[in-house]
Amino acid sequence: MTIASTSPDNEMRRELNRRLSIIADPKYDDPARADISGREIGIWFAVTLAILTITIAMWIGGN
Amino acid sequence: MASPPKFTGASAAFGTLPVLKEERELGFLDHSWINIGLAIATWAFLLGGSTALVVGARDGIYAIIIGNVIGVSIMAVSVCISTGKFGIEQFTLMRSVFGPIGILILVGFFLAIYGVGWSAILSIMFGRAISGVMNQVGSTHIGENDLGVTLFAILAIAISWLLLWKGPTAVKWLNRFVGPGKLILCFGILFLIFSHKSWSDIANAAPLAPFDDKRINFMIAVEFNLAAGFGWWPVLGNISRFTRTPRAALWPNLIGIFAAAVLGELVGLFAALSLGSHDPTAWMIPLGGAFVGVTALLFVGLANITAIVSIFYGMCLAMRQAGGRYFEGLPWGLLTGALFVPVIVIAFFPGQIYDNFFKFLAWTALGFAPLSGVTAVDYLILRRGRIKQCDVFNDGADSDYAFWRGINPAAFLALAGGGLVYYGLFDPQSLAAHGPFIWISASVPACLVAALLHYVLTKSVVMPAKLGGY
Repeated sequence: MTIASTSPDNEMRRELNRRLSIIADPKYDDPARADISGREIGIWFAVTLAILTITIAMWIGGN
Repeated sequence: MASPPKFTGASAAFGTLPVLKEERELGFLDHSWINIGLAIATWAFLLGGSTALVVGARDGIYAIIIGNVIGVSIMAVSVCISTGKFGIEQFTLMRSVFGPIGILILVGFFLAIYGVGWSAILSIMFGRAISGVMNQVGSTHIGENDLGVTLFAILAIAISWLLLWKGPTAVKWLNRFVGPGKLILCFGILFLIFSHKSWSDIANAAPLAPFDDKRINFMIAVEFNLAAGFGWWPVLGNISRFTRTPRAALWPNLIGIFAAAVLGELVGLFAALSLGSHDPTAWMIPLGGAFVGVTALLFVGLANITAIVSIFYGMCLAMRQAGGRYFEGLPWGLLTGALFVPVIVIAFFPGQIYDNFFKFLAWTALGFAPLSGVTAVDYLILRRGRIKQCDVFNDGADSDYAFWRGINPAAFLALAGGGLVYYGLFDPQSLAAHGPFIWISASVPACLVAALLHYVLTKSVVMPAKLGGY
């Protein structure tokens, strides 16, 4: 469904516009829409890197 | 007075509409359970079996963990954070990277190959599973590449199409049994393996079809598992869009997809090594005897039907949405039926497709590793998490994401660059390794090169042209 679809004034577009206007309201509060922090992404990669490093170390040790 | 719109949360769930707060149903645990159900599937057994082709149990364990943790960590960051934040269907949101026509090309090419390929493999697996049941129960003698396998594969396709056409909610009902059943199957296979064999038997079992060089074997095994990790790219974004917090969008990929996929693949690895076959349909009767084996094969068949429907449902939805005005008038039954035609054709070549599953896997990595790099750098670094939501739904030239005639050539050049790097290091068809492949794999450099190329081209060409809304 797109805004420039063949029937631009269809029900789906009206619903899309309704939702977009709700989301655009500065008072609209949805915790999922918060930006993920750089720290959280850093922890994510630190954890996965730790799993990777330990696994490689064990593989090297086993060989 | 105009009648109120007939839209509910379900409309957002089955379409591209951005989800609202009250429609976000997935907390941390819910998202983790869904991911566990997705990751522990019959494809995990196939991946474990493919790993056993080139390495033994010890190297296989390390290769499975290394490949999956790298693939999942990059893939999750590249799609789950953005779709979780905006709640918009993944391929609609990706218009901000590739443009509206660009995403149509991407969906029509990459996703069609991915969906058709996986559906063909799973339907042939269904065919072999049911042939095994018929051989055991009906005393038939259907060979693993006989016409009987193809006919059963076509039956799987027909059932999947009917389910897709008449109501995917039937699959939700089926999944209530299939999901827990997959976990039982996993632990059941592990129990049966270790009741027949000791750990040292499995650890000392030779790989099934290794190359001469041990280092190349190990890196090919890692590469298969990198492909498995990056291969979640087209699937997970449309699940994480229903999460309630950014944390719930990201971390369940490590708990669910990574950990559960590792478990399922280890079962496949051990079973393949102890039974000497990489084909999961050849394990069940030798492991469990006639009754348990036939029951397990019937369950594998059922699980494959639900998997085919899940893959095809996502693919058809993405095609219809990405196709915009071109596909929106096409009846659902016709669209899904048309996409099943190539699957039927492929089902006539069960040996060539199913037994070369690992080559298909490597080909998909050639696409999805660069895609993960491009989409991660675009959202996290170039856009700093900002997307103009109105414009991703706008096909017009006034959209920020119209780029050049609806295509962002920078993103496609970056994809091509990453794909070439992959091909230069590892030929997915012959599995021939080149240059530093044994040290750095092919997927990781392909992902990094594509990300770097996209960054440089966007900074030097797209942003100066004031396109893309960067």
